[in-house]
Amino acid sequence: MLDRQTNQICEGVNISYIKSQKFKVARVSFTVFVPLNKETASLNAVLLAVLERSCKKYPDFSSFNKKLEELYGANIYSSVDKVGDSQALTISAVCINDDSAFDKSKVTLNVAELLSEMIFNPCLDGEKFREEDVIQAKRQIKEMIQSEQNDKKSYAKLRCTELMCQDEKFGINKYGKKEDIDKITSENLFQAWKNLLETGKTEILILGNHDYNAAYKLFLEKFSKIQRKNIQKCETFIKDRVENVREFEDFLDVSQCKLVIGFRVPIKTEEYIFSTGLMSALLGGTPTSKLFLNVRETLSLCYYCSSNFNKDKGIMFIESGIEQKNFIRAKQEILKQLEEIKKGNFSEEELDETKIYLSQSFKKIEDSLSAIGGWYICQSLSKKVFTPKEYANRINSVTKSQIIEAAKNIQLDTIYLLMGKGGKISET
Amino acid sequence: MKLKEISSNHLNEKYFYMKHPSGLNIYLYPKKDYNSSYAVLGVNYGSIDATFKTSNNKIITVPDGIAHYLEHKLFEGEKGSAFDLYAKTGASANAYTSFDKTAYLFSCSDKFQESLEILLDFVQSPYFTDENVEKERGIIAQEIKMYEDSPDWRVYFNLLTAMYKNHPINLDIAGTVESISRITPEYLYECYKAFYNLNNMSLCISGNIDTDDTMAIIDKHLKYSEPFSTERIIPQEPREVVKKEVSQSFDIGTSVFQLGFKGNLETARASEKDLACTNIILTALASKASPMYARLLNLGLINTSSFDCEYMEAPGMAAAIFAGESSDPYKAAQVIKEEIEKIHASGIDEETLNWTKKSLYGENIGGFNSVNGIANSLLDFSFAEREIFKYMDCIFKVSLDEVNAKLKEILDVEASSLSVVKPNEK
Repeated sequence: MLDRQTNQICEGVNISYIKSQKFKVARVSFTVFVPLNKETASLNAVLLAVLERSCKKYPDFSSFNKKLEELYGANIYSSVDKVGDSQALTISAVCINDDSAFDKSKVTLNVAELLSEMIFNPCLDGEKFREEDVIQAKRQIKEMIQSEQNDKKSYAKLRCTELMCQDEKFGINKYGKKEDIDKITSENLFQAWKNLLETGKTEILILGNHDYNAAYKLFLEKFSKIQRKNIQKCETFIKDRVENVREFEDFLDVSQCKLVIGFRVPIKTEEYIFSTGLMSALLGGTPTSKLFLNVRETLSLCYYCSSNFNKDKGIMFIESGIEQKNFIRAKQEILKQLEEIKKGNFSEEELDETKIYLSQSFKKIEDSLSAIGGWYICQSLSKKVFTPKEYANRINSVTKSQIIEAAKNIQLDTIYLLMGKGGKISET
Repeated sequence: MKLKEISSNHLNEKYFYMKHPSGLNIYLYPKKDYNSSYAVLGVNYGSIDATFKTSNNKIITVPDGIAHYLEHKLFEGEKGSAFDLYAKTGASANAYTSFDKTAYLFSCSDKFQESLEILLDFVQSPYFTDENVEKERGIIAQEIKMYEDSPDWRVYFNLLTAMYKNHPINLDIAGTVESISRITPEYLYECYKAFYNLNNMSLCISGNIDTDDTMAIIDKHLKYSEPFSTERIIPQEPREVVKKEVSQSFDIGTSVFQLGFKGNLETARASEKDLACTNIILTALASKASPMYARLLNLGLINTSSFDCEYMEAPGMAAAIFAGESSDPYKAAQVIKEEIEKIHASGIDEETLNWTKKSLYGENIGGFNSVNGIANSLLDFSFAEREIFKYMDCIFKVSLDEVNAKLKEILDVEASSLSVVKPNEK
């Protein structure tokens, strides 16, 4: 059982402790949520890359990383994610427990301090960041955006999202636009940094076996010097009506086509989160799901065909990699399997099997600190926070008729195909 | 018939091992505080076993990609798919094929024993027909095509092809669309018979398990295996590489590169100490705290999200590989080689040895946190005939002289190849 203690540090800043003795490592994460905006997306992403490089105490990249190595190879990770229409900026640190250190030093607290130094005491040059750090960080984020095209599966999903949500915040790339990066200066990064600390909704997670009181005091002290004001509201627009189904194609030099189908999921009540999640798994979330058994096993059309539901944005995606000549067949079969669920053509047994599969995946979350962290960070903007167990219980109580209703509730929005150059869609 | 306890005082961890009378190596690593368990049944057989000597001294060559094809097909039994059986227990099951092993695994938080029975039964019950083998061809062809579009995969195999002339490590694990078109049920049975012998397999389990109950299940479900006499054939491999440079163009946004150094060509696997020395060297040379990393970063030649250094090792080969995205892969490779020459000249010093040991130790402790990680490591170590706690001890024990002696062997600039995958010319 996960026991979670939460305290408010100041307005819009929470710190939570999930104590567990069973792990050999501990984790601290610091996440700031802000609305995803064209103007600030790349600025925030570059800022995170600047902060990740060093801190005032260890001002250059090598000395900073040497310090981490001496703390038994502690690792710092930074990530930019989308949670609904918000940009989530996270820096986290993972290190070994104090009792695993052979000099019995306070590794966990040292690492938490180092993390807080990176965020609150970065290397500055007056009221701006240092040029060398800014140049490096801008280049890195630019390369991140450029390399999105390298992985065709995730690129296809990214393109489908961009096209499907082109008039929404969710359609903005989490790293912003490449062209905007050139305009970023060390001065406006300084302003962005101040702005995030003063106005960003913040979640700090302390996971594993920590001295929580010390960690709490540490962040309390850091925030005592910050003037918190005008906390930014993070809201998500969920589209509940689709006027026209749209189809898009991109052409790249590929040997396998990538098909992505996007659906809107109007979340009429909280119940729909659970029923849609289960419906999506029944359709394409397990090796005995309808898509796996029919599109892959029976028709041999693909290696992967899966469905996943984004509850924060109210979108469901189905993805598959296929031969170009099989596009129409694959699309028809995928939509047919969804129709089968709408018609109730699935057994109680199939439903139960999907439930026990999902229940077990929720139980496994408690066996990994990064999974526990991810679970709670994702829910930071939700009205209600569920434990994995509560979530599993809600999934388990979904009925067959609720599944049928969930399948009828979703609306086809966008069909996206990434295909080979010169490719044409034709019936075969 | 008794389980032997293997423990580490340093880590305060232990596991149990036995060589079962059936021939199977069994590793049980209980983690009582965990909700889940993970089991992996591995066969010491992979894509490099394209040519082998059978028990009646016949040397045969089979189509490339057959070990992987076999892995897919084993899930199908006479009475249906293993996935259908796992669906009843709720376990999450999978399998993978690498250069030198094939592994079948599941993870679960309930009904562990029932899932273990399924695993042991289906891996011991091959069922290949013309029809079910045919059905798989389209699926695997799409898997191959998916990898064809992956620059990270292509840059890797181009590198291995540039480095190795005869060693079958240069064969793509899944084969090609052409080679798999030649796979028949007869070939699959032949390979199954040759390698799927309990004497050539290991079962590794970690998680919330009771060792007695688990052993009772295992005892009940193992079938007798003939003595194992198939021989792996690894052809003679020259010291020098085939090509110094190889490149390919793709519709991608950023160039990726891999720079590989051809190491030991002995068929005996690296010892715990060899591995500890090697990983200390690579940490000293290429971790974020190293002078090389800072230099590459400052010159704008690598980024922190992709640069990595890895040591790969299989029977008859070992290679240190530096990989990442780069705006100028040729310049990056040149800088890496220069830094390697520097470290050859200066050697590694005492201070560096101390921090790399701490770093490696911490990094490896992380591996004892996840039941999946533990069982997978036990499997790797089993086939390489290494013991995991002994490796952890070696990280502490190796001396500066031992580390520096290893340096020459693993990073020979003369025996290196650079593989680049770059964006198409616009």
